[in-house]
Amino acid sequence: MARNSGVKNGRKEMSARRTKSVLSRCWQIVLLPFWSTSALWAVGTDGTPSNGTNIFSPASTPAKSIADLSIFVLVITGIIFVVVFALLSYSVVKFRMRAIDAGREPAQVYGSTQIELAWTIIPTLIVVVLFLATARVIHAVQDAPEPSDAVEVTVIGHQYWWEFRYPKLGIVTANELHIPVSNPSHPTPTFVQLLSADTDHSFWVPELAGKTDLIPNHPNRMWVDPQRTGVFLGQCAQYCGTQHAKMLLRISVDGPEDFATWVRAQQKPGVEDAGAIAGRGVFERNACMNCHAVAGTPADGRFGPDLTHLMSRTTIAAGAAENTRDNLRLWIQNPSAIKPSSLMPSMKLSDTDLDAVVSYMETLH
Amino acid sequence: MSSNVITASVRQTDAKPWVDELHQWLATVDHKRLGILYIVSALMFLVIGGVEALIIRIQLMHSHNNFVSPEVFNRMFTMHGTTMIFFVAMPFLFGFANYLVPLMIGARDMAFPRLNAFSFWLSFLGALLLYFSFLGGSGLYGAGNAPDVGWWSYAPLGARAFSPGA
Repeated sequence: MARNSGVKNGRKEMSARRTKSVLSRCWQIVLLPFWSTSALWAVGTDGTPSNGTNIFSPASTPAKSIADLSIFVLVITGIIFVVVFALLSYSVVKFRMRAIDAGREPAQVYGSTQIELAWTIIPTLIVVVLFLATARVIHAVQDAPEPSDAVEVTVIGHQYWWEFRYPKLGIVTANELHIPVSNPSHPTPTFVQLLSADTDHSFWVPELAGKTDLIPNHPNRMWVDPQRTGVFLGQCAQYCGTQHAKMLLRISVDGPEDFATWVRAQQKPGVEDAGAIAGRGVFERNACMNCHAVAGTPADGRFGPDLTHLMSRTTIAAGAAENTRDNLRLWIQNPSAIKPSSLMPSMKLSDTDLDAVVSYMETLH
Repeated sequence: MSSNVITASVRQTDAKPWVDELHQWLATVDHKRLGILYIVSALMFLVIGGVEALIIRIQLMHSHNNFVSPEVFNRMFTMHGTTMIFFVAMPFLFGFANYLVPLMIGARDMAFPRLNAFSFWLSFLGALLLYFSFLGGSGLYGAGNAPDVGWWSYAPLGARAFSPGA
């Protein structure tokens, strides 16, 4: 008898211990994601280091509003998740079927007006709050008024490169944009008009703003006001063909003096270097000038990038390669080696012609 | 036994020849069998679409990887998207609906059983037609090649101006 009761007690104790261990394991699983992401919470949006495309390190008002809104939504939905998951885990564990329940129906509870009102009204309020917060950000970003001294840039998307024009400054360049830094107390934003020469593209520089599409026959507008200097990277964000992946953006945010220096350099016509006459001859004799333009020479093609200040850019082929002599030579000799299906044809130049043209390109500062 | 004794006919217990079984499946208008056909074909295209996804993932494993060329990569994500939406997700849905809804509402079958069967085979043919496009581009005149404009195929990229022959 004593042994029997011992066994019975043992079984009750075992089931109580099993319940406790199951519960504690459930809580460990629930809390695991929070422990592992607590490091993420500790790093604020301003403290996160930038690597050129880090969306948690916004440098401009549109990007900051979007980042702040995302964290706000994440917190609200995170709380909802914790509450729902806690209730679910509790119910699953507490009301699981035990051996003594076999053949019996659980208690039939038929609704409760208070609870149903609560779980209708509270989510409605949450949705209203989220809607208003989002609408505010959208309005602030899309309908921002343009100050009269804003820098204006017209971006024209091509397959597969970016054309940048500064209509008020008389500058035409490609793939690498320079804009002035904006002091929050006296903002000097840059307003960008987006046009497309062929298919859809999308202008996306994650640390500066959200994506805005470039749609043919449908001008779009967006703006940025970068609050720190540096190089910001971006890329085309709307599939536009074979080399969509190699249509990169490089935005250099300069201090006011650097920006003024850059503008003056870009406004000058092409450098006339006597030593590059041979190369210039090759450039003009072959079909190069049908697509490319060099200010101050007869070359005024608009199909390809403007080459007047090619050497002021750090990359070629819309970021596909660094702007070095070897890459330039390879690009001119056979564009498909760097960017297969790029729309620039190989002109099949002889080696002497090729070297001459590359030397000419290298004089175009 | 003498041959002039009439024996009661014995029920045929031999297994049905497989041709008959196959014919029954191919010519069925029964909503349950069509539901199963939808789901089986969806599973088959799930595997094919999954292989396309794996090709995408392998290409994206390292930067400057060249597991597939840009043209092939673009075809992969286009076909993967089209397959998964139109030939996996939707047939799964239709398969479940075909099987369960008549049973749930107490009907004997769908309202137009032959149209139901026709719908299934037409969608299957459509999938085969899309995958036939892979055979083009390597000399099969007029067959183009698999589409490479994304499964949403926005104009103008997907229009004739920028995708001649596609």
